[in-house]
Amino acid sequence: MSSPAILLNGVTKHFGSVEALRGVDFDVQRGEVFGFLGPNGAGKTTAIRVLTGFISLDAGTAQVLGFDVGRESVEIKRHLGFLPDTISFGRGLTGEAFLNHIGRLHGFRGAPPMQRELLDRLELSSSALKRGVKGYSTGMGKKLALVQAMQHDPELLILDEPTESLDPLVRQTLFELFRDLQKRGTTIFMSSHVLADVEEICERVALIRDGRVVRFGPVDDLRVGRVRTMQVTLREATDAFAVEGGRVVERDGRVVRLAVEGDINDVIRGLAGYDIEDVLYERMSLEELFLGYYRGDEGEASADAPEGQYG
Amino acid sequence: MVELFRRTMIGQRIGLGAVSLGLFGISVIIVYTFKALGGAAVIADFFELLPEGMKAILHAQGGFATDAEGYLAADYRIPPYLVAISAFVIASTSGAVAREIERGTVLMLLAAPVARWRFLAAKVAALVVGIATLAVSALAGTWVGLMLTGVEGVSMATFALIQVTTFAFAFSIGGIGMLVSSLTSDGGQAMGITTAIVVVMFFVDFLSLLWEPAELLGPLAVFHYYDPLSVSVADALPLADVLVLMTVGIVGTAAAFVVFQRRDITR
Repeated sequence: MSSPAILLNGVTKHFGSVEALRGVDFDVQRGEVFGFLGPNGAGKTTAIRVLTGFISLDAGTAQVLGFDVGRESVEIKRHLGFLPDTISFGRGLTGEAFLNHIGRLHGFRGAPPMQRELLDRLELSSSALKRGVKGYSTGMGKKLALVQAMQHDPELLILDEPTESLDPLVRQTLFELFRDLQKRGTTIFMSSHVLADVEEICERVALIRDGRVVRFGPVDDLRVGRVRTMQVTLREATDAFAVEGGRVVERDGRVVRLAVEGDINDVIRGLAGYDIEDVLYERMSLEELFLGYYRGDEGEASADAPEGQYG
Repeated sequence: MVELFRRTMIGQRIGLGAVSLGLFGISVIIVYTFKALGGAAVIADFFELLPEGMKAILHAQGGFATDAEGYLAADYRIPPYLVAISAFVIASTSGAVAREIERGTVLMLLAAPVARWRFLAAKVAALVVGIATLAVSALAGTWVGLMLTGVEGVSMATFALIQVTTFAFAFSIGGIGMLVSSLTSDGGQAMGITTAIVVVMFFVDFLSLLWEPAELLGPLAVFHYYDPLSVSVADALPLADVLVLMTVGIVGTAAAFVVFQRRDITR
C-alpha cells in the first residue's frame, strides 16, 4: 500500500519564543484535493514551508510522498509543484523565459509537458508571455505562477492561496483544472482563507489556529453537530409557534427563524402542524463553521473543536 | 546548477558590464596620467611630494619603483579602483542569497529539484566568473593604455600576476559577502553589513600603516594582503598574501554553504 501523499506527525516549530506550529498532525491521501484553512498568522505558510523543505522541524516527523522532508527534500521536489504565498519572478524576465527557466530546473530542455495546455486554459497569450513579467498585473502574475507549479505535471501540488487575486471566471477554470488533474491522479494540497473555494473543491480539510490543527476531516463532516438555521414563513402570524428540535431565535411577523440543534426530522414533524407558506433551510456554510472556530472565543472553540482527526 | 549559473550571469550582466567598462577605463586613464605627469623623469619627485596618508593608501611607504610599471602598479590601489571592485562583489554576494530570499524568488527556484548547495555553488561560480572578468578588463585597459600612449618598460606578465592578486583580494571579500548574505534575509541588510566590514578593514589597514600602535591590527584586514606594487617590485606572485586572501574567501564561502544548508527560509 502506498504511503500518504503528506503525513505530518507532531510537527512543532518555534521561531524564538513564538510557537508557530504546535504538534500538528494530519495526512493527505494520494489523489485527493485537500484544503488547509486558517486565518492569517495561524501557521498555514509555516506548515507549507515545512513540507517544501524551506523550514526545519523542531520536533515531530513530516513525510511527503513517503520521503522525509528534512533528508530527502530534493527527491520530494522531483514530484512536486509548488505555488508560494509570495510570488516573485526575478528581474528582467519575460513570462516565457521564466517558465522555461523553471522548466529547465526540472530537467526539461524544451517546454514542459503541460505548459501549452495550462497556458491555453488559463488564457495566458503568447504576446503576454513575450512581455516582461514586471509589467504583469497581479492576476496575470498569479496565473504565470500557477503554470510554473503545474507545467511539469507533478504528482503532488502544494499551493499556498492559489485563488487569491484571480477573478471569478479564472477561479472556476482553475477548479476545473484541479478536477481534471485529480482524475489523472494528482494530489492537490491547497491553503486558503477563502472558504467558498475550499468548500467547492476540497474533499477534506484541516483547520489550523494558533499553530494547532483544531479540526480535520471531510468538509461535510465538519458541519455535523453544528447549529443550522431554518427560516419558516407562516401563512398567518402566531405567537404560539414552537417545534421540537428547533429553537426560535427571531420572529418578525409571519417569519420565524429557528436554530436547528437536534434531529431535522423532529423539526419537520413539528412543522406539519402549521399552515406554512415557505421554508428555507440553510445548509451551514463553511464560513459560519469557520467563524465558529476562529471568532476568538477560546472556550467555545476548544469545547466545540477537539484536537485531531474525526469522521 | 548550470541553469542557475546561466540565470545568475544574465541577471548580473549589466552590472558586471558597467563595472568592467569602468575598470577598463580607469586602467586606460591611469596610463595616460603617467604621461601627463611627465613620465619617468619626474615621477620620483611627484611621489616624494605625496602626503604619508596617500602613500599608505597606495601601500607605497617603502618607496616607489620610479618607472612606469611601479607607477601603474601602485595605482591599482587607488580608491576608485578598490571601490569599483568591492561594489561589484558586495552587490553580487548580497544578491546571491539575501536578495533572493527578500524578493521571494528563492521559493520558486528551490521548489525545483535543486539542492541548496547547488544553488549556492551556482552563485559562487557566477561571482568567480564576474571577478575574473573584472581582472581581465583592468588588464586589458592597461594594455590598451600602453598601446595608445606608447609608454614603454611595462611587463604585461607582471600585470597579469597583479590581476591574480586582484582576483584573490576580490574573492576574499566575496567569501565574507557570501557568508553575510547566507545569514540574512534582506539584501539591503546584507549589503550594509558587508560594506561596513570592508570599510572597517580598509581603515584598519590604513591606520596600521600610519600609526604604530595600530600596526598589529593590519594583518586582520584583507587590504593588508593586497599589494600590487610589491608584485611589480619583486616581479613575482606574493604567494603568502594570495594564500591568505584565498583562504579567507574559501573559508567564508564554505561557512556560507553550511549556514545556507541549515537555515530556515522564512521571509
